[in-house]
Amino acid sequence: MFSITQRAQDVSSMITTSIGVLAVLISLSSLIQLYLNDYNNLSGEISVKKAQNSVKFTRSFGGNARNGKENVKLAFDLETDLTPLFNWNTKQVFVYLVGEYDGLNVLKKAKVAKDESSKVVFWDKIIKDKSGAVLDLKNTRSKYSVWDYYQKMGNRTANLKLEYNIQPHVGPLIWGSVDFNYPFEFPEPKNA
Amino acid sequence: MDQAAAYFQENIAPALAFNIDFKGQEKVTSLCQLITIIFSVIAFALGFILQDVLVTGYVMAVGTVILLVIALPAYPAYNKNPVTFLKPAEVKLPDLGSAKAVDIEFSN
Repeated sequence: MFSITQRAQDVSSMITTSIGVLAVLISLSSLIQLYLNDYNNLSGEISVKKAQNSVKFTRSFGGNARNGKENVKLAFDLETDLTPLFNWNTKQVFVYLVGEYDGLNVLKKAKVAKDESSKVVFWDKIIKDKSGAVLDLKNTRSKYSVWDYYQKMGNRTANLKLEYNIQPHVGPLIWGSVDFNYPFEFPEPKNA
Repeated sequence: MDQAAAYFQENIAPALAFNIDFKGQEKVTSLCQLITIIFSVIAFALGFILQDVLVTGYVMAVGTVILLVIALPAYPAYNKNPVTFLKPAEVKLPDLGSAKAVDIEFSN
């Protein structure tokens, strides 16, 4: 502390240390807030209004000229309340609608796990504020045309759920899901 | 270039150092630590109550500015106890008598 440069260095180290301690305290307090708000037990409702399955023969839809790939698009109604996820440490919440379904287990000889399952994302959204946390969607079309690793998607049943990812200002990322218990069967393709 | 650097080091740099004496250093250190802790506690409390991280950031920024204003300039209050050095002592050189310097010549 004898010269001006030494005092500037000391002040900078004090401020940096306190900012580090504050970051740890902020993230801990926000984790406690989420736990008290019961962030793991969110509920909601979904219903699929329309679904269509068409075979595509282009690379941008997963197929090639000889073997087509079944692509599924859908329109849905969704209602849920994500306000317990928002506190002072939440920067934004990324929500995405997934369909989880069992694999075909076609490659029985290969070292493939018997319980393979696939997950496809139909729609996603970035929520930046508590005011946008109450989702009430009507007839929303899926953003992405989804396809499976294998060609066949029709008549397979998927479990729809809304997964979220809380991105904080400081601290760890937190994942979770809103289970709807809504089994959804992919329709048969229009053009075989 | 060397002469300019030496001139700078000898004449200009000491004036830019803004030194303070030891008692002043103790005062500045304890004051800075106190202010840092107070502002950190206020920043966290205000941010948590208002549920806004930006409030915490702003309070810490204000605290940083206050710390710099308190610590950086060499106020006269920090220089009240200057270090007292002893006076230079009188040194008596030994009397060499008739001895005088001799040039030594080396022959090949």
